[in-house]
Amino acid sequence: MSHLRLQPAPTPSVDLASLATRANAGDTGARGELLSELYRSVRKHVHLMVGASSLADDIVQEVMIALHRGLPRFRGEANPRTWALAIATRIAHKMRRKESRYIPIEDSALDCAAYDPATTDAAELAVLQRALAILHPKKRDAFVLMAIFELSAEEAGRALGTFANTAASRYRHARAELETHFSRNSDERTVLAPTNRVGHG
Amino acid sequence: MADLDTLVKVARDATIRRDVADSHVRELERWAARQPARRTWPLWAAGGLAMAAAAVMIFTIARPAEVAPTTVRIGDRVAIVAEPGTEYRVVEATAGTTTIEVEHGAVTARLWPGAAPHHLVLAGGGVTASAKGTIYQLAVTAGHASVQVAQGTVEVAEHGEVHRVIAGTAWPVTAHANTRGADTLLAMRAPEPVPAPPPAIPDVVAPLPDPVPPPAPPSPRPAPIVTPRDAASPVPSIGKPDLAIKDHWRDARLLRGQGRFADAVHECLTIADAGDATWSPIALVEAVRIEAGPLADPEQAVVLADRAIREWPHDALIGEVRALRCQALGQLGRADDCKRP
Repeated sequence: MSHLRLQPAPTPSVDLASLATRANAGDTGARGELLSELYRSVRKHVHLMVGASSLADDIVQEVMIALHRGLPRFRGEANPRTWALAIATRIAHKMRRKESRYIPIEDSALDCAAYDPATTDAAELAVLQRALAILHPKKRDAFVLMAIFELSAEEAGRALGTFANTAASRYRHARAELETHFSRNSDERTVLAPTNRVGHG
Repeated sequence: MADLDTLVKVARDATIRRDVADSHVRELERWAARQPARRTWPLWAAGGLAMAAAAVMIFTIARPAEVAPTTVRIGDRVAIVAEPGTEYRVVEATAGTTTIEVEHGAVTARLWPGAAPHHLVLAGGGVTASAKGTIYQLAVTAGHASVQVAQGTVEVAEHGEVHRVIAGTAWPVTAHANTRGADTLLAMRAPEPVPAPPPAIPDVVAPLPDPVPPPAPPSPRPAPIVTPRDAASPVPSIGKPDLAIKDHWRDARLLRGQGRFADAVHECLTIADAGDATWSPIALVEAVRIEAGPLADPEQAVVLADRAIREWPHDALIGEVRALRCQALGQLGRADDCKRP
């Protein structure tokens, strides 16, 4: 439970709020930089939620269009990254329901080419993504938002469209299931069983 | 536990390549630049349509009802439909002829077939249109006449030339078609068959007030037509010297209602000859009205008016008689004579 955080996410190295303010003041450079930063978070988030697939690409595309259109109306009340992740979560839920299809985990290989090799251990990330695939989508979404993107329970609840306690509960259950899973497969951590549950939210 | 925490940390640290993100954002900006401004016109269009629909509804509800044309039956076999604003007068309405003069506007007439021939004439605008069984319209606009024939054939006479206009055509050919009156008349039921005159006359004799006027000579005219509506009332008996004045008055009104104006005047004069202080002035005024109106005989109207003024100078109806006299004199071009008593 060491990853359950009740405070808002820490301020990233790049001051996204400042970029958002400048972008809405007409600074096109700041807007491009802000959208670029948000894209990096959104793409990782979506890939962890649904795997690397054409559906994920579609979701990322939709999210970026929504961010581009919604940026002038962004009032700065939340962290821009939290705002972007909330939008991404809602759009992913909607499109997963619309697609209504299962995505075999074998087809959801990690999109290694998109990750920065200097900061990313692709093999470990692939193991985590396969492990996430065994979770129920609701638990997986809560785990990704709270454990990896370090959103608070309240922020995760807003992004998931539920109560903070519900989001925290999903996170705890997801973590417990992952720990159990890894304890059972400690010798072959990278050979996790595939699942078909990726596509449903 | 350590394994999961390690993997979570790896995931936290993992970042998407900067160039990939920048490339995507540039592509996004290019795409956005090609997109037209978000169209708000559908909202405005929807609002405009809603307001237009509301305006149409309000206009429809608030618009005054269209004035319906007037349908009038003349006699037993003729009915006319006068369009709103039309001025016309029935010049003649006898058993054999109905003549209607249209000052302006449009009159559509229908003549139902009967046992005896009947001559239906519409006149106006220098044109006389006559038929013996048809539905047609004479419209007079700004002094110009046009004739529309819906049924049968009509002879249109103008400046000595006679044109035959058949059903579905108009004279002149450029006349604007207006079939509303014809449609109304076509929807009307044919008149009831004319019943035979009553074979017997009840002996309803009321004492006449003294002095008893000399009985009027028997009239050679047939008895007025009795319609089913009048069947319940006492049978009129025109020309009978032993009738009460009230009966003569009722007969006069009945004859006028049937379009038999000359007979109605005759009945009124019978009452006038009785010298009754109550009924004679009333009958004289009615006779003046008929002569000046449907019979269009202003000279006779003046004569009767003079008689009423002479015989009943202090009657309450004399004021109306003087007005009718002046009106008739005006029609004769002798308006100045109106000032003389």
